[in-house]
This record gives sequence, C-alpha cells and structure tokens, in this order.
Amino acid sequence: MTGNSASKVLSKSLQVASKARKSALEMTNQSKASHIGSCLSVIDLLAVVFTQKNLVSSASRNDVLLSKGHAAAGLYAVLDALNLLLQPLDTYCKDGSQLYGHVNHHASPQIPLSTGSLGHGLPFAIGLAISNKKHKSQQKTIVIISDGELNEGTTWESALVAPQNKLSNLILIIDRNGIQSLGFTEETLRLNPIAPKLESFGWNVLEIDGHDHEKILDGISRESDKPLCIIATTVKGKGVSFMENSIAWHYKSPTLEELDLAFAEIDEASK
Amino acid sequence: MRNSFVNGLLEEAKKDESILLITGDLGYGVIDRFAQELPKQFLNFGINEQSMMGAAAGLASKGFKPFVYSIGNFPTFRCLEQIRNDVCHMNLNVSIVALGAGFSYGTAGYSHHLVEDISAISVLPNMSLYSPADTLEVTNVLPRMLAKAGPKYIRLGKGGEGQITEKFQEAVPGISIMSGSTDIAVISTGNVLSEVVTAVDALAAELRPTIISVSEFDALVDYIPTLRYRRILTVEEHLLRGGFGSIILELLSQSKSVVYRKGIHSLSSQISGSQQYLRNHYEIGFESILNSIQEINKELSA
Repeated sequence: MTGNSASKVLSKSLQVASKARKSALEMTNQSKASHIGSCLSVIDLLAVVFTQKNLVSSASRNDVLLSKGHAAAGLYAVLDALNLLLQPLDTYCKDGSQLYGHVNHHASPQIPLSTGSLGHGLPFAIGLAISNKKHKSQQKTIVIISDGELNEGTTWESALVAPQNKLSNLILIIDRNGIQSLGFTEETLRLNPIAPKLESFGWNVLEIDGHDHEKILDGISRESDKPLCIIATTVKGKGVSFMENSIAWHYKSPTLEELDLAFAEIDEASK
Repeated sequence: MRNSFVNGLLEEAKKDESILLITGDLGYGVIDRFAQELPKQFLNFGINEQSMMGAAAGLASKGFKPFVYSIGNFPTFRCLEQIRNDVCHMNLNVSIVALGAGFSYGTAGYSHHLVEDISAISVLPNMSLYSPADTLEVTNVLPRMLAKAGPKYIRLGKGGEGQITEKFQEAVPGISIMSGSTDIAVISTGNVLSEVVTAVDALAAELRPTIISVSEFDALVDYIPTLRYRRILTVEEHLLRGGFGSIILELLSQSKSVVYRKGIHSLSSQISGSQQYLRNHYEIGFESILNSIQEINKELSA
C-alpha cells in the first residue's frame, strides 16, 4: 500500500474505531447484552480491515470474516460507521431484529458468514482462500478469531490444512486479549507460545500491537509466501479503563453512568 | 452404487469445472479415476471433517459446487454443527455424499453403521435428502441434484446392489412405483428395497402389495398425502424414531390409511455382522417383511 493511500486509511480508521466504540457501548447499554469487552478488544482490528477493504477497487477487496461472533456489536458498529450496515444499530437485540447478539450475515453484504459458535470462521475462510486461488484472484481472505478459539480442534485442523494447500492469500488474525469466557487463557488451557506452534505448522507469524492502526494496516498489506498469522496483542475492554482486562466485562453491560464515563474516556483519547 | 455415483459425477464435472470432489481421505478404489482425470477439481482434505465441511461451505459461497465424500457418520455426525451453521443456515450449494447407508459396513461395527442420519439431517433448514435404492436411481437422482442449488445430502450403499428398480415406473420425479394387486403399499427408501422386492416376489401375484421406492425426500410432501391405500407399510434401514417411516406417518396423519413401520427399534445391541445378518437381526430382512405383509393381508381379508 502506498504511503498516500495508507494515510487515507489511517485517518479514516481512527474515526471509525472511536465512533464504533461508542456505538457498541450504547448498544450493549440499551440491550443489556454481553460481550462489550470482546467488542472493544477487536474494534481497532475491524476498523482498519474494513476501512482498507472499502477504500480499494471492488475487484481487489479482501474477504473479511469475524469468527468471534460474540463481538457482533463491535462488527455492526464498525460497519455502521462506514455506512455499510443494512439495519439501524438501535434495533440491536430488539424483538424481531436481524441484528442479534451473534454475527448475522443478513446484516450486511460485507459479512460472508454468520458466526457465534467458535471455530467456524477459519475453515470457512480456507474455502474462500482456496476459491480465490483457483480463480487466480488477487483477493486475500482475512479471518479474525479470538484467542479462545485456539481451544477449538477446527483451528488446529485448519492450521494444518492452510499450509498444505499453500494458501499464501490467507491472513489469520488472532485477537490475543488473553481472556476467555471464565478466566485467563493461560490458566484455562495454556496457549503460549503460539507463534512457534504455527511457524512449525508452516505459517509466517507476525506479532503486533492490535490497537496500533498503522501496525495492523502494515500487517494485512504484507506479501507472504505462506499463510500469514498476525498475533494481535489486544486488551479486553480497550479504551474504557474500568473495563480493561476484566473478566466481568465479558458479561456485564454498562449502566448510563458507566456509559458517560466511558464516552468521556474515548473522547479524550481521540483528541 | 458409490461407483456409479462418482463416475456419473466425473462425467458431469468434465462439463462443469465448478464441480469439486472433496474427500476426507476416504474412497480408495472409488475416487481414483476422478482424481486422475480431474486433479484440479479434486481435493483430499485429510481426516478433518469439521474443517472440510466449513471449507466446502466457503467454496460454495464463491460459486463452486463441492461434493463432500466420506463414510456415513463422518460427513454427518462428526461435523453436524458445520452442516447446520455453515451449510444449511447459509443455504449454500454443498452436496454431502455419505457412503454406507444403514448396515452397508455391517462388520465394521457401530462407528460405521449409518442408521440415525435421516433423523439428524432431515430437520436441518434448506436441506434436501436423496436416498437411491440402486444404480438406476443414482443415475436419475444425480442430474436433479446438480440442477438444485442449496444444501443436499445423499445416502449411498456400498455397492453390489444391482438394478432393483428395473421394473418400476416413475410416479413423480424422485419416487418410483411397482403396482401390486392389493390395497397395501410398501414404501421404502434406499437399498433395503432389495429386501422388500424379494419379500414381495415370494407372494402369489394376487397377494402382492404395491411397492413405492423413494429416492428424493423433497418429493414426499406433495405425493404421500395423495395415497389412498388402506394399509401402508414403511421399511427403512434406519432407526424408527425420526426416520423415514416417521416422515411418512407425519404426512399421512390426516389420512385414513393405517401405517405400519419396519425399521430399527433401538440399537441397544452391541453386535456386528454382515448387512444381511443385521437386517435379519433387526427384522428388516425379507423374511420379516414377508411376514408383515402376510399379516396385513390376513387382517384385511378377515
């Protein structure tokens, strides 16, 4: 990506992320739904990936999948900030809405797969990548998974399958916030060290700060001779100090007072 | 049966390069010709049915027509959630080819007995089921499968079924019939039809029921409620609960026909054996079918 177009992406993606953080907080406040911590963890990744995707010509647009379907509010909020969502955000988790608590592909043509059960995105992405390769398309397939999904057998099956099929057009981004449903990942089912595991399987691995938009954009723009895994170190609840690194915010939804505090912090950070 | 399916698919795939044959490392001696002649349309995914099914869904979302081939339980129960979420909910054009219907792999043991698949697969959204009885029905079903977009499941025997339906007439596409002379119809699906035909052949011509063979479940909804037989006997090489006979019974719930069902009551037994042995053991062999027909004949003439 040229310097000029990169700066175009970055100036937009920061705005998108900031707006999406506030939307996701508002959505979980109004719906009393869970998973705000997971949304805040992944919003920077989604903001960069979707902003970049929609600033290039349609033929070279990446396929992007969010496998951690429980961060649906984060995905919907990012797509809404880019005017790519078909439904109004305030219907989130309302009766009769298509914007339910886990990712629904009917919410936007930008969503190739409904998710919610973990470990489904990467195998599906492999199908997309094989297809792009067969069609000799320049499109890349980017799939974002949670680190909790490294507990799933399909992740490791697919970690074998992708190098076997020489899918150098596949980018796996791990949202590495270190927290899964009931506890810290390393106390639940030890994952570390992740990079050498995947390297030994035949992947290139890049470790980045998953909230640094420049690093994210650089990562997804890299050419790789093998499937590329980006381990994006993130903070669950990122951007709202009292939610950061807290297991409770996998479940809690913010009160109106907490929403005000959170908005103030996000506004301050984006100054 | 599996050979005629894969060879038929090969001929279609030569004309349509979006057709892919994906195997979970099974099909020795069956898929070889396809793999050799169309290597770009063949993929051995390895032994990972869940990832294979998810990837097949991804390929289908890009316009490919993947046929996912494996032995019965593996492309079904091992990856049921991938079929449910990634294929059926997404309404994608993936065809699952399950080998070893019923007790086709009898001696291989319970892990390879495909006797609960109809219950599990038939309830999934957008799914079409196919269950041919012989190579003739395979030949009829394949072009209809290819013409239909969306999730599909075909249940095949192992082989050596011969041509059981040679003398049958098509009632509607997907259902064929051999008329009898009584007010009874025996309805079956899949290669257990051979047991039905053997049983009926053992009867005097005036005591023979009509036989109906169902190879395409989508055809049932319109056809079955039109039946006017006084007695109907369903036969399946599958569990009775939620199975083929259960579907027929639902469709005839407003009808005056009395429905009897033959199938597997429960698989509590730990035995294995040849397909014939197990059919006899679970009372879906020709002798048991013959007894049931004779009892119904007696009941109607009383």
